[in-house]
Amino acid sequence: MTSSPSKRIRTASPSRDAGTIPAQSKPKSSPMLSASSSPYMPMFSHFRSELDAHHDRRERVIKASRDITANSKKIIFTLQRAPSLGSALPNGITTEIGGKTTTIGTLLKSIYPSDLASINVWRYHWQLSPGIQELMEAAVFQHYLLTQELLNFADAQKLVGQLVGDELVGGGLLTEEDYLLGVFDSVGEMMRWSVSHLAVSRGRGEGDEALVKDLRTLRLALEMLKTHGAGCERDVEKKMEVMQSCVDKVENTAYGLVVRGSERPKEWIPEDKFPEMHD
Amino acid sequence: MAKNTSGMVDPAIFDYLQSKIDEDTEIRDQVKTILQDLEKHGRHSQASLAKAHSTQASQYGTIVEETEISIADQINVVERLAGTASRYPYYKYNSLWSRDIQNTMFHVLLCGWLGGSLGLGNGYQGRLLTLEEVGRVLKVPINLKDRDAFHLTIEEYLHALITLIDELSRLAINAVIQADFAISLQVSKFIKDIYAGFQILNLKNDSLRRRSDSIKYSVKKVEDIVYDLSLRNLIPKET
Repeated sequence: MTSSPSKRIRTASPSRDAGTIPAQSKPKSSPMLSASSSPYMPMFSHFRSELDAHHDRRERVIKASRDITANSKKIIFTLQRAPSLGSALPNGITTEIGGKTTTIGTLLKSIYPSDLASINVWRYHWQLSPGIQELMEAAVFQHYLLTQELLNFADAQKLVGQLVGDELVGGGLLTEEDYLLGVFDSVGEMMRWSVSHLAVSRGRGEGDEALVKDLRTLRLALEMLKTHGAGCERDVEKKMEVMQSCVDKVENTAYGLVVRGSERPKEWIPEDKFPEMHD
Repeated sequence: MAKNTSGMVDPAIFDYLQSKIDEDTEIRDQVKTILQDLEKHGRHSQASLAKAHSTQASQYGTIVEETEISIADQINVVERLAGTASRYPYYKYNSLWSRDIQNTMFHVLLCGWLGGSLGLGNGYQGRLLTLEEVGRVLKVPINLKDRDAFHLTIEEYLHALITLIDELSRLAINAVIQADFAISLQVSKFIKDIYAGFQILNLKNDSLRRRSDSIKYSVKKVEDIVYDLSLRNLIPKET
């Protein structure tokens, strides 16, 4: 701070030596003043309106995506209460999910096709992607609980198409990458459901064996994918570890039931219903 | 539901996903190969344009001539890139080439500023080529909205413009070294006009915003040069 006044003196001194008029000749016109005279203003006002429209569209997509995520999460929570695998869901659950699904459809229709027409589907893809992935997570999980099968891509696309009321083109909102990343995340939900289900049935339920087997099959299929050099490489890498540890948890639970569960009398009720959930 | 002895996963699902992933990898490789060529020719343009820093304004013509040769090579590569890229969703892959395209656009802008006509007819020194003109030079569409194909975006043009300003603020210094004082004055006016334009844009917190923040330092740098010149009565009389 102390050096700044001396600096000012030093820069001022050559002006005296040169004998010219100093301060007033310094062209310090404010840029705002020159704005009116800049010949490029029409060009920039055009850019301004284009960029404003772009940012508005982007904002709307981000907001819709966020709300789609929230509603998909609620669907997932509801699905966790499903009592059994491979059969129809209780009415209460179906109604609740139906309501959320309708909301997601409305959200999607608020941005499609208006903000996501033609070239813009991909322009805002990174903003829409999180919501679509969460939606996939819910859809894959729901499909598994109902049918004990993995929802395939074509059906997933049809589902998104139905949500926007445009089965033919609307499915284009779903990319293979988002579907795949949704499948990765759904393993976590299958794990949560399996662990609590196994804890209640204590390994004596019908289809308990299939649960572990299913997750193992899915894990292997996901592990076998080669994504090196692809656009989804980094996302897949991140999700791979999480997915693996989820399957591990189900295997560990099943192991515990085989080793310790058989020692317990049939009437024995665990004090803590869901011991694995506290890990 | 008894069918589930073979597991939950239909192998066709993952065969399909793998084929799609392979396709994506293949497209990325193709684009990257083309970009290597673009970068190579871009370096030649960069080298020619750099001579402006040690050349009298009256001699810019020779630099422009030389640069237009390598820009012609860049135009050919851009054509190849556009051909390949237009087969796929534009915004899916545009991050791959956006930086290289910005550089190419900058070469065109600077060449145009130095007086290159670039096939547009009557070039003059100090000219700002518009986005439309850069598109015409590179033979590709601009700011496409209603169809999905390769094009130049407004953002890319603005990025190239910021690079141009950076480069010109350096030219303003080097012109003084060669006693080419008029160039510095011209640069000062030009940069201020562009800066005024940037000020009406509502930029979000992105790379464009960060880079455009640097324009004011260029403005100041060149204003200081003009100040130094005016103090010493070195500013040529306007004719």
